[in-house]
Amino acid sequence: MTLRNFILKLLLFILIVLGFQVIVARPVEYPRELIILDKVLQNGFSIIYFGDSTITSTSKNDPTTQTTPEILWRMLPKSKLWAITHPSLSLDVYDAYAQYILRKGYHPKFLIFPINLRSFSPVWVSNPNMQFKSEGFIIRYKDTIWLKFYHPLGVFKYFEPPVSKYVFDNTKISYKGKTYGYIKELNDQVKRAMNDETRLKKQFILDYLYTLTPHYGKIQSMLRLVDRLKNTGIDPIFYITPVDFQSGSSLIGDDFTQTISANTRLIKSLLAERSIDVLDFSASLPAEAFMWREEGYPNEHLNLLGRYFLAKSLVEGTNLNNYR
Amino acid sequence: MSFNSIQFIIFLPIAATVFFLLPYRFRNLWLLLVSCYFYMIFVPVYILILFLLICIDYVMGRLIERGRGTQRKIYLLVSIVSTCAILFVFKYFNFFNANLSHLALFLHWNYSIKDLSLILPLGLSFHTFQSLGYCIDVYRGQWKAEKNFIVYALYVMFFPQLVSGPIERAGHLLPQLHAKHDFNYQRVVDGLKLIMWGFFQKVVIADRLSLSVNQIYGHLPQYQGLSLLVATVFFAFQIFCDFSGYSDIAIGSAKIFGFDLVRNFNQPYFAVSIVEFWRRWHISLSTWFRDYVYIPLGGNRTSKLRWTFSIVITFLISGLWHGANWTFLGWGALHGFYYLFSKWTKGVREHFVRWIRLDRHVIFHQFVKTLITFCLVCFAWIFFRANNFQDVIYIITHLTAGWGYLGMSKPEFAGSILLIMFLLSIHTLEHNLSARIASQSSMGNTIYAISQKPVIFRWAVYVLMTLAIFNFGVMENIPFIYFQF
Repeated sequence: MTLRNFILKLLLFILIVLGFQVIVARPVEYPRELIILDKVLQNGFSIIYFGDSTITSTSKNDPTTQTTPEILWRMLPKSKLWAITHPSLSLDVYDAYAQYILRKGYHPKFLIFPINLRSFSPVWVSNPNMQFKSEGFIIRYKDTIWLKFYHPLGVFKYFEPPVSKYVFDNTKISYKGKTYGYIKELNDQVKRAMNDETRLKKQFILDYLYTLTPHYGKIQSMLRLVDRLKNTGIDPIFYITPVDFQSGSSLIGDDFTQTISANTRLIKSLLAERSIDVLDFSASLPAEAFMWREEGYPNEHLNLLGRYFLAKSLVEGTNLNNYR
Repeated sequence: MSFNSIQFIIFLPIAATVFFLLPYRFRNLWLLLVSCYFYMIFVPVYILILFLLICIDYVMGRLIERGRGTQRKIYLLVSIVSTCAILFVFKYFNFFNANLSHLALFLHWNYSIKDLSLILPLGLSFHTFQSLGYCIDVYRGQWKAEKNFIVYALYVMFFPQLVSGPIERAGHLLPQLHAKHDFNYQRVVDGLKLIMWGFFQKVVIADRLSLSVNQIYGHLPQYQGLSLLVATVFFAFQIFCDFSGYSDIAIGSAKIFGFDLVRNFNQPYFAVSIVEFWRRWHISLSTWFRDYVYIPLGGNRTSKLRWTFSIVITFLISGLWHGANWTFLGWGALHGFYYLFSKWTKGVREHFVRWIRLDRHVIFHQFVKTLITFCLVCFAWIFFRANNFQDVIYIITHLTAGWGYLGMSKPEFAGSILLIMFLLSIHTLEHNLSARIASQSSMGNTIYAISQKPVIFRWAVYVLMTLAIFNFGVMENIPFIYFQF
């Protein structure tokens, strides 16, 4: 038998296998958030607030444990608003959700997306544990024939992170040509730090000192998301989450403020090119509005003061108030 | 690139199709290029270490062939020392350094050499041994030094066997690299069937068993008795299916290109003695140790004392080859002890068997021997799988207590047992067929037997097997165990 005939026979075999796979495929377990999203959209909810831990974390010192969406809910009592949250949602997954909403023909009016600057850092972007490729696949292809191939793809490691642990550990953290170290090295320094100041400084470096470019993966996801929603009647609302500027600049100095400013400028300019306004809260809150000192590592988790400010600013900065 | 990845599923057909479409004179170069790509998917820069190793042994091979008298010995020594030095730096330095540091602390010496922060290049132990074997063969005059650098580089780097063997010999692989390989339908199909069986062993059986084994061995204080025993037996089948699966994918992939790699397994858990187990388990490594360590140490044509010494050294090195950890040394030492003990007590055991008249029941006698051998092998696997010697001691001392708790859900246990039973029934089939059909691969007889069936039956088997891999394979990323060596 010739090579050509063999290839034809092999293709026939593959077709038979794929055909049977469609029939016998094991059911896929959907993420809880996706099931909830389906229900709320079927019930005509018009504002969907996507978010990560920056909108759900509460401080033990807060007089109330209301999260940002709950506060927003109280401020907009007549609106049909629902929050879809997961501790590590990011723009890639938001894009998958947007694709799903459009494919299913749902028509919410607003989709709110926080842009968490820490989630743009190499520590998150390259982290093998923060890729969520399989979740993205399930969301994108729920109720389609493609989902029948979820298990085979998983068995052959399609959902494995594109970066290995080795590459991640050896990712350089630098700003304007100045190298601060490598992720593993800096993480080790954090663990071994003799005092809090050294440890926090290293953590702020790891989380915030990076230079965004238009080609950055997460930026591309953000732009895809915007392009996807264009002319659909669904308005995306983006806001840059508050960052503890005060603590960051006191520990790292000018590099910190300059980096955050440059990165937010880039995000705003790229979205402005697509006629999308971004609410920039990155430098809006003092250190007292953050609760990360309770948790022991710098992040964008807010206490009640911060959450209240954020919800109020969202209402004031958008026309959510005028829509029910 | 890992075999059980989408990348490999795409890579293999492209590499093979281009290989057969290219003129003969470019095929080895193509194979070398794709092998480089295959290797560089892991850590690209480590290709330089491999290149250095290839250059050293290529040059030394040529020099050994041209040299005379002591010159040849010197060149061989250079090859051995430099190859072993690379292996030592990447694999053993930190182990020896840590032990020296402990010793220095105990003796109150001042010792301050720091550990090296290096990742072990994938498959280093395999290709260093393959490379070393070549130089020794040239020195012994068993094989001529390879003149063509591309052919030699491909001998070391041929991607199916690059990362975890089988460890090839110059006399077996080099002539094949000089031969012309045309597309052969039957070979390609046989290769694909072997790959399919390899995938089934790895992603359906080994990875499924590993979920329970990793849970129990990773949280030992929570388990005792029955759960430790079950985890150890499961590990015995996990490591077999993991490595045998890898070997079958490697042999199958090479077969597609027209190359035969050596057989690595021959139903090792059907062995009736430890001696026989080592003739059936990781055959390419055990024969390497036989030819390049055991025989040069004197083999069995020496005094009893010297022979004992040779056995002990061979098994200790074999243990150390697997990993720079005392547990691996313990595993090697235990197998060495088994080996010696079985030889020393052969007469007594045979006498005992005759005394209790077990020899009259041939099948039952075989079964008892197989079971005892399997139990001994499983006991040794405790050393191999445990993270350290404290864990080994914990397992051994807690094996007899707490027999009421299985350590896993009943469906999980039942599923694993079913998979093991399926594997054993396939091995029984293979074992029974082997008397009739000679085969180079672990599944060759079964594959041949299936190929004699009507086309509907054959295709149904292949489709079902593929669907089983697709739907019952484990999605978690569990690397091949032998990748770490």
